[in-house]
Amino acid sequence: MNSFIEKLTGMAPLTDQVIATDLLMASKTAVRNYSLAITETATPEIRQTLINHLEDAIDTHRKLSKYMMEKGYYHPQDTQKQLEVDLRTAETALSLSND
Amino acid sequence: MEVKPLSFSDHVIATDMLFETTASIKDLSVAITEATSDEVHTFLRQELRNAIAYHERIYGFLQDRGIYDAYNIPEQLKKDISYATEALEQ
Amino acid sequence: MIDNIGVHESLELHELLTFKSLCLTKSTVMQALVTDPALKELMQEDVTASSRHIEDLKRHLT
Repeated sequence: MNSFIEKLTGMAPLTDQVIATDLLMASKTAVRNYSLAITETATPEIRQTLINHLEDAIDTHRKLSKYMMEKGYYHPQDTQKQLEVDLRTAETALSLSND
Repeated sequence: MEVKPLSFSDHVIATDMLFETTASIKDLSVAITEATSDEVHTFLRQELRNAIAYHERIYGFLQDRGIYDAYNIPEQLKKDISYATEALEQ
Repeated sequence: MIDNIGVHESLELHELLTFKSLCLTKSTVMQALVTDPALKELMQEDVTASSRHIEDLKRHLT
């Protein structure tokens, strides 16, 4: 595990990309989880809390996806480019697990 | 509070509206995380807010009419079973 | 805080609390590995917001 972290930290720019992707996915899950929870609540105070959290979650997701687009990690408008990035990421992930 | 009990068809329609609104909230929240342009994002976000507000109104309506009781599970089950029985009789 | 919350609601809140706690732990730990200042700042904002969210959820559950 420690050598794994060392490997990761040894490739700083890639680590940033991996972490940003992980955060983006977490924030996406947050938006979904909160939306579902809102439809299951009956108490107005709880509903309001969940709505506020949902607004924050959408903000976080928006900021992260904009950051990733600026950095060239995320190309929603260009499938070909996105595929190249994803394949490169997959290669790196495979090489990390192989040695 | 004295309110007239809902007719069976009104009950069905209101429940369907609640479920459709729930579905639209789920779909909109998924769509928001896939929107790229600011314009679409802002639009979906407003639609999601509207859907949540609408869901609250329908839920409140069903609660006031005694169809939903989130705080008493045995009572809710009794209601659901009598609703199901009625549906079978139709 | 609220003396009467539904069973369903409390399960939802528990699930969100677990989810948020996981997010907060991950963001806090991974912040140390990040090099880009803009990303670091975004993560710090996330940590602050998540902490506030966890406090809110806890308040409804206790």
